[in-house]
Amino acid sequence: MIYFVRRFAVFLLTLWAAITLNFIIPRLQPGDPAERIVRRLNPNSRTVDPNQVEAVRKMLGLPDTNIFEQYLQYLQTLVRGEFGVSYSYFPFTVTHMIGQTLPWTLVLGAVTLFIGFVVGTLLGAWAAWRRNGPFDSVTTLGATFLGTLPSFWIALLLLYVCAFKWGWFPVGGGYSGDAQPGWNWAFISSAFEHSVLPAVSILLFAPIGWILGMRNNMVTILGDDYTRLAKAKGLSERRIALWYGARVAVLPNVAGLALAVGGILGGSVVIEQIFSYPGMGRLLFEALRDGDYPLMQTVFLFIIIGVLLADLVADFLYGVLDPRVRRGG
Amino acid sequence: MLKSKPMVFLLLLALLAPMPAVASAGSQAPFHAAVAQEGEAPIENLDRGDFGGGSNPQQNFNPFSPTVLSGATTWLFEPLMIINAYSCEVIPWLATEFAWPDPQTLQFTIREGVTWSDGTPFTAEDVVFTHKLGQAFPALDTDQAWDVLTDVVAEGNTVTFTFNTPAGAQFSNLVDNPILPKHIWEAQADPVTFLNEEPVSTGPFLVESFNPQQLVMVRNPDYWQAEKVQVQRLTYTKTEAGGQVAQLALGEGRYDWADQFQPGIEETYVAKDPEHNKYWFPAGGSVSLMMNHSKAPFNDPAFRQGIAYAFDRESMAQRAAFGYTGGSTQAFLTLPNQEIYLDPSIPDQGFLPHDPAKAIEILTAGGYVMDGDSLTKDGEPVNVTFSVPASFNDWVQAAELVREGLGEIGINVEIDSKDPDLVFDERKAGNFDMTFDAPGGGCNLWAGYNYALGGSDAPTPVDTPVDFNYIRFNSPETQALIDQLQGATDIEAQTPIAHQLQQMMMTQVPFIPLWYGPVWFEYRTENAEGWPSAENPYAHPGNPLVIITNLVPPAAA
Repeated sequence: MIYFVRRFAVFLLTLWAAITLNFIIPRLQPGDPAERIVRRLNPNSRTVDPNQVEAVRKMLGLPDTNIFEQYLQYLQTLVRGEFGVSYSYFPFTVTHMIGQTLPWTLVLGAVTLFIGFVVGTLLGAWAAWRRNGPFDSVTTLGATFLGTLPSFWIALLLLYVCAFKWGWFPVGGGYSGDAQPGWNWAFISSAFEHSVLPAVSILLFAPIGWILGMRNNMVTILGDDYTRLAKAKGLSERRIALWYGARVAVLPNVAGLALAVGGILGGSVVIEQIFSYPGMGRLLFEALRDGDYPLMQTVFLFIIIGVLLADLVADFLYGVLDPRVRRGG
Repeated sequence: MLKSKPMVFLLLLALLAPMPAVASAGSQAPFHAAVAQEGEAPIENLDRGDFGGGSNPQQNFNPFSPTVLSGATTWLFEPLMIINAYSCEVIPWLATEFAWPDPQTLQFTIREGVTWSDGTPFTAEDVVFTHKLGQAFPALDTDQAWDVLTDVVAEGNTVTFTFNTPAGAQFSNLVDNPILPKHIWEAQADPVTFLNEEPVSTGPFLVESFNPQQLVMVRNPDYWQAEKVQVQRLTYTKTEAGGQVAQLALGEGRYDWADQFQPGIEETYVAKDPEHNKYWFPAGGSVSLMMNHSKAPFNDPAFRQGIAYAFDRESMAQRAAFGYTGGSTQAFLTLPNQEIYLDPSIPDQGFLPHDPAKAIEILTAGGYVMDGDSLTKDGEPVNVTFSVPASFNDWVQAAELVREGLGEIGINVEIDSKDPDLVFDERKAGNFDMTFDAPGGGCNLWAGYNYALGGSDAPTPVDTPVDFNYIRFNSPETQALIDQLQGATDIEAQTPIAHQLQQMMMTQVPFIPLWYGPVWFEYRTENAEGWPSAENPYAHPGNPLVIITNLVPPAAA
């Protein structure tokens, strides 16, 4: 019991620290949100009209109280679950904007994460089982090579070649302008078509970590005494690979998956920006660009809570499943 | 070592399970889909790019809102008059005439026979109501007009604005404001957050359909000058304005009308279809060398006059503006189109040559000494830091030429390129040596001077952030001229004051205009002709309402 209480206390402490940093860090940025918004409204102009900046400042109701009062207010609103009005999407609330964009990112991120995890783990297991064979060499070398390429560059290349040169896929966006968002076939097929290139760009890289992690774990395990014992008992190769090797080797990957789930939002920024995908990564990018503190804080908060919760759940599960963890702390 | 069961994995998957349904973005109002069935205009459709509202545009037709779908409101709400931003002529629009009975009173005669799209007649009351919104809600007063405005009243079809000071310079701000329907907006408790989802408007187009990826505007058959509008539809597709996707799409000929920066336009755009892909980049504001007058040597007129000859303005225009525009005049005007305001006694229209020898001559006469290769004052070498926003590539390129030019006359320049917000913050606080800015360029000469030098009778102390006259130029005489210019109501009154200000620019050199920033404008002649161009500059690219009433089908041109 003490173990669980302690884990939970650590969770709360981390959460408080993260929430506080979340308040401080965006405010260390130089610049004025109102001025940035006016700049964005006049993208072709290098000068801003100070009168317009003044009007936008009044519109947003930018705080002129001191930073400690702002911090207290921030904590109060968090407790009440109010995230305020977005600066860059005024007069819409932060919750409204996140509600619009989160599904896109979650669907794209979760599907690619799941496929990447399954494919990567299977490839890694197979490579480890046939270690030092041609399949292993090709997979390991291929994954290492791909891992050295900048993923945003591959994404740009895909966009240029597959969408612009050959016209196989639409150029950016979440769905075509003719489709009416909702549960209709035209929209769903259009959304699927638009998600192919972003998904491929992610999937080219998603399995790499899982492949290498799985292969290396499993190679070690296959050299262990109990695997040799299993061989000596005359168990079938397949049974040894799956039930003695892969089953144990997958555990660190599962721990990694917990963190990856929390990382879905953070990792989506670049890909969504390149493909103009209407998700939360792009929203976060805009929030950063426009100095939209309320939106930035809330998106970061979601990321933080996502990672911390995933971590906490993993900790609890290990506690339940492995008595040694509980006793040793 | 961690030890667990595959159950962890399953449970984590379960966490993901309640994935929300696919976004349902914005309710879809029927808009005016049925309006324009019979009698379609000859130009079926023109394709355009971004329509504003950020990457997740929401249904918002409130023209004051920073997330407004500007692609729509441009065509929905019209101003009283349009100032042709190229020739500076005033074009009557929702008002037919204006007069200044005295410099503190401005009167407009409102056009008759205009109706709102719901059939309600447009009246002078709508004009009064729109302008009074800024008084009741300061957040809607985007020009801070109520600093000088005291009242707006309607009488018949006349609207009278009264000011607390001579206010000729307020004209362009006032006529510019989009006029809103009183009968809709007066019912709104908070017009600042009102979304105006089903807009009632006077303009040439109505919203046909909107979703976050596409906005379609359809011709308003009951428009007050409908016979001049030959375009049936305008289709906007969401892209990031000025982003790579927009640049590629322009190259592919997907936009009939665009206003975006395009690198290597001849190769990436014109060459793809030389017959139809055209562009015209008229000169905008002057990118200028701004100096901090709160410190030496920039507070010394001799220094400023001298270095004004150190720059090769044409090379700068070539490198920073790809040669689309040329070097600019020290007289702080956009030439040739604003020539009517230019003092003819200024030699060479104020275009200063690149003449290092002359620069050194002026500097030497001012007490500076060339010591070997470096310029010194009282035995100390002159060193300058040049701050430039790192993301403005053209400015970073030009800063290099500033360094070379000043290097030739013995001034050592260190270029400090950094985050734009840092540059702007330091600029406001007066903690900089030299930087670029692009003041002026518009027809409202006062606004240009006021932004660059306004408040020069009492410059703001260093470390107090300020937007106007952040260079901290100190000249009560100049401020008196700027104030006179603000009061002048017609070109006859404005010109003599403008001439004096130009003389001040030539002798005091408070800042140094270097080259004209181009205004981006690309168009295709496949589906429509009659676009403004260098040969026929009847309107500025920033006057879309004027352009749309001049477009004709290609065959007829």
